[in-house]
Amino acid sequence: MSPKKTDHIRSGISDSGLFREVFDKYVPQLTGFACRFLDEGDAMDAVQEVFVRLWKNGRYRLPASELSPYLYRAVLNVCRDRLRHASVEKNYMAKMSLYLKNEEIEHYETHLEETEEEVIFKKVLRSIDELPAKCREIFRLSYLERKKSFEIAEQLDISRRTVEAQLYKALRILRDKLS
Amino acid sequence: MNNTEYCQSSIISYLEGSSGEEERAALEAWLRESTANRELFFGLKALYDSGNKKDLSAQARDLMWSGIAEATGISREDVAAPGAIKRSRPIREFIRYAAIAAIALVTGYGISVYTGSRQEAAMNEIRMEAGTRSSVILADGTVVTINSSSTLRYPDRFGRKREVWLDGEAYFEVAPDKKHPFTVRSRQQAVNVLGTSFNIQAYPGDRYNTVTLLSGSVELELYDKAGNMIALEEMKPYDRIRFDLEEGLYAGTVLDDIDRQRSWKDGIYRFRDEKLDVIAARLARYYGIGITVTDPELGNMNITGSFPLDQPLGEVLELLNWEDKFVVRPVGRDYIIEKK
Repeated sequence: MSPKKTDHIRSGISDSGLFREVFDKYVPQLTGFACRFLDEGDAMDAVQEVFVRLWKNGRYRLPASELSPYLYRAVLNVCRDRLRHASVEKNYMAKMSLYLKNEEIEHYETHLEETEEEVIFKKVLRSIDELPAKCREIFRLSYLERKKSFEIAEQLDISRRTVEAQLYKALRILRDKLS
Repeated sequence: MNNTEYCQSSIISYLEGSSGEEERAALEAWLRESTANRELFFGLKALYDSGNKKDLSAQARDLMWSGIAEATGISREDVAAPGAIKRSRPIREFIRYAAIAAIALVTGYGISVYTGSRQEAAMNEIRMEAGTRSSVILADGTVVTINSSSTLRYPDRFGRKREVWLDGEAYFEVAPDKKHPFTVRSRQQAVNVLGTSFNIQAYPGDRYNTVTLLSGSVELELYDKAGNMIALEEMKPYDRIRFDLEEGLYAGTVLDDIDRQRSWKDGIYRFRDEKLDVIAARLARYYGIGITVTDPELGNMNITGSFPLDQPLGEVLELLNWEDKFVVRPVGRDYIIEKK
């Protein structure tokens, strides 16, 4: 794993330059992640807080494989604290069930590594790639190209029922893999 | 009606941020039911959310950077801001659809809404785990009670034919409609119905299928392993046909008064002069464990009895053996039944 570390030790790049790179890479996904628990403004605040701490503790120098889990966990912790302190005066808290939010946070605490954006995207794409060939083609046409099943049937010269059966099969396989 | 079904739209509404108080309460109740439900829901929500995320605007990002720069003392002009990184839209959309589709499959909610076409019937699936039972009302008003370890697949709307697929056991009360025959397909058999109540037992892996008619009339088609029709039988009320899939043979009996009262639908499993082998296989399904009868002679022994399906299996096996004819030995979660 040691060659990874050299990623960030490049000649000429300043600490603040490296920090900015980390910021640009992770802030969009982390803010999105925080938005699952907080409203947008609070989510942005939470991520800011994490990055201020990140600068101070110097962990932005960690290799990506350690940095990403660290950041997600830090965001989760800040969000949990903010949820805990959020009082009823907050309008959205009154609307959002606290129970659901807390359960969700608890879930992430044990499944954080599966939550990182890259991990999810890779897993989904790999799952699609692993579908049987015919299944995959029909699935792509339906979900990525948004074609209706009769259009796919015409295009591939098969019955609509076959298309639907294949889609159903694909969803079953994906469900088992993803859930 | 079971909670899962009541909850299906609540899940999707919650994900889409459009759930009201009542829906959220339903969702909460469902989540409180089991860890499995929570695992499933939050796993799918994570998937959905990662597909649903809005891209952070460049403006918001710059605002955040200013805040951080100020708090840390990094000069704002120190570093150049590269363009925002965006994930391609189709993949995001796909992930969101996949999450909803997965929820749809789990909860039996129609997929068609999300594939964009209201015209096509989508296939739903309800799967009962061991030890659970539930009823579902189909689009035509037919009520199906699905037994443990059984799966029913049905379209969310029926076309000219009403056709559903069953693995396992279910009790049907078919809404009468002469113009649209109702067909239940299982392994090597099809039951054609006009309007009637009947029970089908056709578990994958079992040697026998059993169809029991309680009212109305049905036509039973039986097929051999190659898919050739070997029999077409018209059944009358209280007929029961047991089909031996191995041998391709079948035999009919007429239920007597006591049998006519019998149904697992009320949560009681009744059997009369049933082979121990068959009872053991059935119990294994209901409770989701393994039961092995080691001695063939023992397996052939006839037993009569009944017990509630929510009784602990240990007690059930004790009851089964009240004459002390065999030995029940627990092995981990499973049981072995052997000669004394």
